Amino acid sequence: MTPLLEIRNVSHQFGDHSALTNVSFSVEQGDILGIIGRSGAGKSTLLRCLCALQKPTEGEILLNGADLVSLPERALVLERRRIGLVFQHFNLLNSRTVAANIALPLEISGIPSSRRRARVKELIEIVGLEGHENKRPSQLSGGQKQRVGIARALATEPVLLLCDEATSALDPETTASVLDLLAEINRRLGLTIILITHEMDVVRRFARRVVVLEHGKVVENSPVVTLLSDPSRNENIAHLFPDTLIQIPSDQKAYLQTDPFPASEVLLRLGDTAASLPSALLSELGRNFGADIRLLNGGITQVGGRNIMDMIIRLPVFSPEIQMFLKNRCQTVEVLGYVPSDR
Amino acid sequence: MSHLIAELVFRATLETLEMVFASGAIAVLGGLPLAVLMLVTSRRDLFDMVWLSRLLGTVIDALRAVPFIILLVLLIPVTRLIAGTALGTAAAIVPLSIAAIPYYARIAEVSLKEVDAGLVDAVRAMGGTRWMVIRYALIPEALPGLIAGLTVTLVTLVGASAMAGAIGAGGLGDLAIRYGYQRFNTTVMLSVVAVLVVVVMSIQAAGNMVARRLR
Repeated sequence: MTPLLEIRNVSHQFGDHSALTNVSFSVEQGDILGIIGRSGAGKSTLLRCLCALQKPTEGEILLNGADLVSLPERALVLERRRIGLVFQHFNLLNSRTVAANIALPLEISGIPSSRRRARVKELIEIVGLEGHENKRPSQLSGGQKQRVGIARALATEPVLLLCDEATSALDPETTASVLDLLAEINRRLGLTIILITHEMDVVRRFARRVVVLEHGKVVENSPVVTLLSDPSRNENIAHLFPDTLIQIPSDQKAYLQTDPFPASEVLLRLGDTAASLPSALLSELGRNFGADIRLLNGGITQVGGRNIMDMIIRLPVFSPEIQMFLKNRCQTVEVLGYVPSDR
Repeated sequence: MSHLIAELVFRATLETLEMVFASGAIAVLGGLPLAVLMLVTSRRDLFDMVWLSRLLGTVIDALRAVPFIILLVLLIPVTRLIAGTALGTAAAIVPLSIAAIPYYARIAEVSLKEVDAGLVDAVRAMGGTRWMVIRYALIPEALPGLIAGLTVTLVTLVGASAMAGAIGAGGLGDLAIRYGYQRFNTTVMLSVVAVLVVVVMSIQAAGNMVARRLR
C-alpha cells in the first residue's frame, strides 16, 4: 500500500540558516504519528510545509501522490482543503459564533448553506459542544475552544489531520480529554493524524509512531513502543527528553558504585515491552528468594495499547538464581550499580 | 438668544454635519481599501509586494504631514476642478476628504495589523484564497477597531470643518469666525462652542456603542 503522505528529502533554508535538512518519512493511512522535538528543532517549519502554507526549498511532499511542493498556488488552495489543521492557540474568529467558526471552511469550499447547517450539527455532536453553538469563542474555556478548533478542522472531511502543539496551551486534565477525542476520531473515522509536540508524554499516550527532530534532522523514526523500550534507542533521545527514562533517585545516585562491596545492595533496571497485567513479579521475587525488594522508581505504563514495564528496584542479594528468575520474566535486566545497605 | 441667531446656528450645524459625514464616508471608501492594500502587500504570506506597501505609506504620510489649513489653500485649484467652486459646504468636502483619507487609512491599517497572524494562517490552511483572508479574517476581526478609528476620524473632521470655515466653507466654524470673532458676538461664539461639544460627544458615544456591540 502506498503511504498517505510521503516526505522525501525535504530541506528548508531561511537565509543561510538550515531549518530542515534532508527530512524523509512517510505516514500510512489511519496512523497516528507524533513529531517531537525541542523548540527550534524545525517542528514549526515542517508543519507549515506539511499543510502547504510554506514551500520547502528542496524536496517533495506527496499527499496521495500530489506534490505539495511543486503544485501552483491555485491547486494548493484545493489541496489545503483536504488537510485539517488544529492550532496551539486555537485561532478562532471572535467575530463569529462557534457554529459559524465551524462552518467557515465549508463556506470557503463553497458548500451551500443548507448542507453547511447539517454538517455543523454533526460536528458539534462529534466534539461534544451541544448547547454552545451560538456562543462566541471568547466565552469558552480553553478545552472547549480546542474542540471548536478540532470540529472546524474536520469540517471538510480531510484525509489528514495536523495538530500543531494542539494540547500545549491546555492544562493536564483538558489535554487528556482532547487527546481522547482525537483518538476516538482516529478510531471512528479512520482519520490519519499527525501530532506535532514538544511533550513526550503526549506522544507516549497517543501516538503509534514517532519521528524525533533535532536541529532540523530526523534522528529517530520508529514505533513509539520500540523507542520507549529499547535502551539503545532510548539513549539516542534521552538527552532530548530526560523525563522519558525513569531515573535513579538522586539520594541513591550519590552512593552509587559500579562494583559490589561489603554490605552493599544492588540496583537493577527491569524492562519489558509486553508486560502481563496484573503483574505479581515483585511479590514472587520476594516470596521465592526471601528478599526485601525496594521499588525505587517506575512501574508499568500503557504505551500505544501495550504494557511497558520500566522500573528500578533495589535488592540485598543478586544470586545467579535471582538473575535466572528475572531473565525469564523480563526482557531486559540491567545492573545499574551498588549502594550501601544502610542508605 | 434671538430667534435669528438660533436659526443661524441651526443651519450652520446642518452644514457642519453634512461636511463631516460626507467626508467621513469618503474617508472610509478611500482609506479602508488603501489600508487593506498597504497591509496585504506588506505581508509575505499574502501579496508579497513590500515596495508597494512602502510607497503607499510614504504618500499617505506626506499628505498627513501637511497642516490642514495649508492643504485647504493648496487644494483650491483641485477643489474648483471637482466641485466647480472653492466656496461653500460642497466645496469644503473636497479638501476635508483628501485630508481624511490618509488619516483614516493609517488608523485602519493599525487595526488590521493587530489581527492575529494565526487567523490569516487559519483561513489559508482551510484552503481560503487571499481575498477570503481579507473578507473572512482581516475585515471582520478588525471591525471594532475600524469603527473606533472612524469615530476618531469623524471627531477630527468636526475640528477640521471649523477650520474650513476660514476660507468660506460655511458651517459652525464659519459662523463662529464671522459673528463670534469678527463682530464680537459672544452669544453666537458660545452657542457654537456648545453645539460643537454636543456634536463631538454624540459622535463619540455612538461610535463607542457600535464598537462595543461588535466586540
